[in-house]
Amino acid sequence: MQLPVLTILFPLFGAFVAVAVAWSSMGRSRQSVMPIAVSALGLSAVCAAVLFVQVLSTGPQTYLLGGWAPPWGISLSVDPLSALMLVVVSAGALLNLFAFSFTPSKWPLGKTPAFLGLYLLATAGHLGIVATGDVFNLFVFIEVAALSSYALLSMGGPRATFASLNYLLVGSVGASLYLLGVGYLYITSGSLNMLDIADILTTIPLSTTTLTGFVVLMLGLWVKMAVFPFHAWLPAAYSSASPAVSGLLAPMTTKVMAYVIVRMLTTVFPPDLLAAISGFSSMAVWLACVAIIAGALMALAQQDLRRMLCFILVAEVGYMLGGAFMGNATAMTGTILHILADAAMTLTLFLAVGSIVVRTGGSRIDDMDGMFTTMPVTMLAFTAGALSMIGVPPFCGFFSKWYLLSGALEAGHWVFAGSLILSSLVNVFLFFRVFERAFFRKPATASAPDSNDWYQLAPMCLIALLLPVIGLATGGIIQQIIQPALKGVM
Amino acid sequence: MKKLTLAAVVIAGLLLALTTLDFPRWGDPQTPASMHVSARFIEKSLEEMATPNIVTAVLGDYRAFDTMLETIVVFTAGLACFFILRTRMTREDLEPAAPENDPLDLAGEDLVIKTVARTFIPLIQLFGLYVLAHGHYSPGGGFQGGVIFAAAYILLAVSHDMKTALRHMSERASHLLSAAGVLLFAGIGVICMTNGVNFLDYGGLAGILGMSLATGHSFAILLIESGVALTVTAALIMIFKLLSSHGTVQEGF
Repeated sequence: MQLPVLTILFPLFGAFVAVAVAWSSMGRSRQSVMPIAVSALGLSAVCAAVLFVQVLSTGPQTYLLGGWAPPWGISLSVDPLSALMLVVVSAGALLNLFAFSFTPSKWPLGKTPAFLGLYLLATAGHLGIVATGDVFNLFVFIEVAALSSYALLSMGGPRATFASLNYLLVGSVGASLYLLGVGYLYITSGSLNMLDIADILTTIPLSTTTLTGFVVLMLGLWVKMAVFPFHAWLPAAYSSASPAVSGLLAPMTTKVMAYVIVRMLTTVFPPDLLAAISGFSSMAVWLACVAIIAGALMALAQQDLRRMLCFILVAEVGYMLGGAFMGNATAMTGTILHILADAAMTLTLFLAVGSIVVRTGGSRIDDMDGMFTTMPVTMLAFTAGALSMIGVPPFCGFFSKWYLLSGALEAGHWVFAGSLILSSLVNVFLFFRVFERAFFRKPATASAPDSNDWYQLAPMCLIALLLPVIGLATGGIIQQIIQPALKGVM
Repeated sequence: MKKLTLAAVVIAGLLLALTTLDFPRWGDPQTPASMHVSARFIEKSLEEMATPNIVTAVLGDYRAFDTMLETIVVFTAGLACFFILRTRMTREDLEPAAPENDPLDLAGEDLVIKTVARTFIPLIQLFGLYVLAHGHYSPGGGFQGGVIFAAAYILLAVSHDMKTALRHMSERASHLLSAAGVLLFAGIGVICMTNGVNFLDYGGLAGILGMSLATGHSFAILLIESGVALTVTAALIMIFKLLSSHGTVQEGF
C-alpha cells in the first residue's frame, strides 16, 4: 500500500539520519554511519522487490501524495516497467555500496558521512525519477539526483573536480531545457500529471507550442543522457571519479534518463505527435547512428580501461536513443530490454574495473598483463560483462541487440542496423585486446592471487551470474513488462 | 567557434520567441492553464486548509512533496559544499571550539559598524520569523524567512569576525540543524502515515491532534515551513562559512 513512497523515503531518511548521527556523535562512532546507509538501501531494495511482485500480480499502482487526487496533487505511478527499474536502481546502488564499502577511503576525516549522505540522495533522486507520475516532480527529482552526483563525481583523481564542474554546467543546461519543455506543456494542457497531460493532448489539436515543448524537453533529456554531441561530460566525469561513485552513476544515470524518454514517448505524448514531426525522429535515429560509430571509434583510441568503458557507454546511449525513435514496437522493445541489460552489464564492468583500480591504483590497458592470474574472480566477472556487452548469447546484451536490429530492419533503417553490427565488432576487438593481455602475458609484478575480500567479490559475482539469467528471462520480461507498457501505443 | 556558438544561441532564441506567438493570450480565463487545475485551487483551498494565501496552500499542501524535495535540494547543496570545500579536517575541528576572549584580537574592530549591526541583527531575525509565520496570509514562508534569518547571521560574521559567529553557531550545530529541518518536514509526512493515510496527508496529523481538518492542514503547513526555514538557514550559513574561510571554517577573513 505505502510501498511506492517507502522505496524513495528509506534512502532519503538514511541521508538525513546519517548526517545527524555523524555530527551528534562527534567522530566517536563514525563507523555507525555505514550500517545506516546499507540498511537504508537494503530496505529500499526490499520494498522495490515486493512492489514489483505486487504490481506483476495485481496491476499498476498509483500512490497519491498528500491524499490529493491528480491533477491537483502529485502521484507516484508504478507499472511493471517502472517497478522493475526501481528494483534495478535500488539493488544496483546497494550492491555497489557493498562492494566498495570496506575499502579504505581517501577522504579526509569526517567526510565519509557526507559521502554516504550524498550517495543515498543520488539513489533516492533516481528512484524518484523512475516512480513519479508528474512531470514537474520529475524535474525536482532530477535536481536532487544531479546535485548530489556533481558533488560525488568531484572527488577522485586530480582532474575530477574540473570534469565535475563541466558536468555541472552541461547538466544544468539539460535540466533547464527539460523544465522549459514542462513549461510549454503546462501552457498547452494546464496540467502536470503525466496521464492527465496525455488525455488532454489527445483531445486538442497539435499546436506549435506542444511541438516546441516536445522538442525542447527531448533535447534536455538527450543532454542529460549524454547523446553524442552532448556526450563530452560523461567520459571525463566517470573516468576520473572514485570507483565507488562511477560504479553507482554509470549504470544508473543514462539508463534512468533513457527510461524517462521511453516514458514520455509511450505515456505522455500522443503517437500522432511523432508522425507530425517525422523529421525530428529521423534526426534522432541518425544522431544515434553517429553516436554509436563515434563512441566505438573513440573507445578504440583509449589507453585507459575506464575511459574505454565510458566511450562504449556513449555508443550504448546511441542504441537506446535509436531504438526509442525508430517508430516500431520491436525497436522500442529492444530499447527497454537494452536499458535493463545495459544497467546490469555496466554495473558488472564498472565493479570489476573498480576493484582493479582499488587493487592496482590505475586502469591503464597496458597494465592489464596477467590479470587473470592475479585477479581471477574479478576477471571472470569482467569477461561475463564484456561478453554481454559484445552481445554473445545467452548473455542479456544479445537479446536486446537482436530486438534493436530486427526493429531497425523492420523500419528499413539499414544504416542503424549497420552501425549496431559495426560497434559490436569493435567491442569484440576492444575486449579481446584486454583479454589477450590479461590472459597470455605474464604479470609485471608477482603477487598473491586475488587477495580481495568476499564482500568485494560477492556483489560482482552475483551480478555477473545474473547476466545470462536476465538474458534467458527475456521472453518473460517482454510478455509481463514490456508488452503492457507498449499496449495501445505502438 | 565562439561566433558559431553565438549564432546558434541567437537562432535558438529567435525560434523560441517565434513559438510564443502561438501561446494562449495572457490573462485569458479561457486558457487551459487557468481553467483546469488552478480553478479548483482558487475555489477550494481556503475551505480545505484555512490558508488565505493560495500559493502557500499549493506549495505547502497540494504539492508539498515538491516542496519537500526542494528543501532536500537545499540540504544537498549544503552537504555538497561541505564535501567538496571542507579542508584540513582534524579531530580538534570536530569538537566545538571553546569560547575564548583574546584581548589582542583586533579583527573587525569598528565601533560604529559593530554597534549598528548589533542593533539590527535582532530586528532582522524578528523580521525573518515574521516572514516565516506570515506565509499563510502574505508572500513569505520557509524559504524566504530562512534566507532572511541566515542574512542576520552573515551580517554578524561580516561586522564582527568568524570566531564570534562560530561562538553563536558552531559547524556542528549548522549540520545538525540542516538535517533537523528536512527530518521535521519528512517526519510530519511519516507521522501522517502512522494514522493510516498517505505520506504528507495532513489529515492524519489533524486526526492525531484532534483538530478540525482545515485547522490541521493549516497547522501542518506552519510546521513544515518551519522545517524548511531551519534547513535553509543552516545550509546557507554552512555554505557561507565554507566559502568565506576557504573551507577551513576557522578564522576566515
